[in-house]
Amino acid sequence: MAEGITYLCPGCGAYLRYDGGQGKWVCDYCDSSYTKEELEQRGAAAENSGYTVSAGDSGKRENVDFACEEHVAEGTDQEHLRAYSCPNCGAEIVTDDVTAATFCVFCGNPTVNPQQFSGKYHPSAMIPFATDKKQAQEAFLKLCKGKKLLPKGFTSRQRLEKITGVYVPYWLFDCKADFDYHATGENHTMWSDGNYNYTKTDLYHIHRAGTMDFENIPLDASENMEDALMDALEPFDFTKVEPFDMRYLSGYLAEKYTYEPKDLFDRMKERVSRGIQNRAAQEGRRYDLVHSVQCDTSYKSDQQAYLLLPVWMLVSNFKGRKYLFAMNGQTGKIVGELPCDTGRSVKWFFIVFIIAFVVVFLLAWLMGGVMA
Amino acid sequence: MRKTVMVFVLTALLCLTGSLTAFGRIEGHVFDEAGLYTQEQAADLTSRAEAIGETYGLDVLFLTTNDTQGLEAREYAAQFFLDGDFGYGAEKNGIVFIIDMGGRDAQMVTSGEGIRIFTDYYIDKIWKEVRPILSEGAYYDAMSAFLTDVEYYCGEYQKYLADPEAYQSEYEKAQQSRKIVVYTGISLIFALVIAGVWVVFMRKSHNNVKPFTDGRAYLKENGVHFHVNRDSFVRTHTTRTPIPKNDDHDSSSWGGGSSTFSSGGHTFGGGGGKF
Repeated sequence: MAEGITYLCPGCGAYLRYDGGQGKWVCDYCDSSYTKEELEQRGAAAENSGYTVSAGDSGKRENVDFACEEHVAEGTDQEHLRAYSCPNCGAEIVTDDVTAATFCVFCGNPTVNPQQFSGKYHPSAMIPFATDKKQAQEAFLKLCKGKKLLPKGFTSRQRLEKITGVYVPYWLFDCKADFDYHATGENHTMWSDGNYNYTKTDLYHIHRAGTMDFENIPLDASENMEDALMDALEPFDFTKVEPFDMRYLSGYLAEKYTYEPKDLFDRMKERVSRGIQNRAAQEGRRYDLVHSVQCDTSYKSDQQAYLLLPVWMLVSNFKGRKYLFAMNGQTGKIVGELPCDTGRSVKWFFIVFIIAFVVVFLLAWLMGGVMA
Repeated sequence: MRKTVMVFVLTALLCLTGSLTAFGRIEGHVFDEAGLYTQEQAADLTSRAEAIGETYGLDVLFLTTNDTQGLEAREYAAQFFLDGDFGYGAEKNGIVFIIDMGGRDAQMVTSGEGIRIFTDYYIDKIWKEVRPILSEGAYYDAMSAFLTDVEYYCGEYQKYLADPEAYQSEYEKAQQSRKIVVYTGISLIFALVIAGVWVVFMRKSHNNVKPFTDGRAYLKENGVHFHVNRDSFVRTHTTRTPIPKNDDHDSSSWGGGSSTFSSGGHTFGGGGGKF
């Protein structure tokens, strides 16, 4: 069984968690907080760990050749489980083999499993949380606000407590695209002479070809995260990227990647292909209508960086369906899906129907001049 | 040829019922060539028509025939009306009810003020009342019903003329109740669509998961290079569509519009059908 690590308060020895809102490490027991520099000066201990963490422990950028064949052997479910002993209470924490930071279910102690980020799984960089749980809860309430169809009691305290900060593994792609874009453009001129309306249509063949260079295309590398939700959470501000530092994980969940860059190559193409067409259409002459688009593109990605990005997550189950809420842990952008109550939908349909009926009838009556 | 035939017919009719005045105008109201009425019935119709003529200045004529000389019934009646110099006043105000037994066709033909009183709406109303009686062969009863209607609508029309703003005609009432039905239907459909769209939007607002970018946001600064940027003109074509014209149709709050036709340089209105 491997050992987990917990960062300890230099003051009282209780565990520390990183608070994104303050940008400091916080001890919930003695109410003290520490900046990164203070921690380094006071030599915060990492308990029960053979893994040494140095400040600014930055990894190298991962370069993966797409031609490279790597065989990942599928094990049984049993093999995907890992057990750790909690440094605080000694209880056994069982997690899956992608979880790198978690909490002890018995004492709530934040625990980091450094082995998960060793070797090729060492992230090159990360964006630490810049928001705290309270902001995430407020954001969730804001998303729910004014939603008349929300089931009763959906914004309960218990649900709000379940909002969790997760460091989601991402691959950041650079990409060069060679494109050859053909389309038909139409310009319309209209006039009339009293008897007829005329429409003159000029047809053009549009041809654009060239290269486009993309950088920092973020693609979530976790099987557990829903792609559409993660795509909607963007943009992240990559100018605020910091070298990977294990201590930022304290108090959050963290996962290591399950998708290799080669698994994400098709998703990367999907993310940029529409943009290539739109950018090509933007260039040069303007048209009233563009159709019959044909775009041949070849993509090449030389560089991918492995990053951890901060996301607040809440998974709710309602009538057998999973509803996801997420907040960008850096910018505070909120996305998500909320359940609709069928009874309330029906009620609102009838309310709007009756009001609309009366209004439309009165309008028709007045405009029809019957009252006059 | 047609003229001589008409003169012959008229002479024959005059011998039966009418008499020629000094001005070439034929007197009388019932010209029963087909022999559908008894003498008492003809006398009754005549006296009632005379009363209407005196009160409202409208010449009411009853014409029956077995043979319209190849003409349409309404044209035959119009010709008869003109040749006999019927109709009161400068506008030749009058209404003819012709029953053509040969074609089993019955028509009301209106002239002058008659066109304005008996609009399509009222002609249709009268026809719907008279037609079943005609079909039963009760010609006198049909004409009696027709006369009652004519008298009633002439009276109502006078009331309308006295104060067009205040008077609410039968036509207007009918239009109004028809409008209520139409508006209710329209409102129902609109309300259903609005409520449906509304709730769909409410439900859609529960999901704001959409991709942040189509990819252009990841473009490097100065990362776009074109080596071909060409727009080649292919062809041009022009289409034209006629501008729709609004046909103005005379219409009043009394009874809507009247369809008219011309015969012998005079305008007639009316309507009818097979019975």
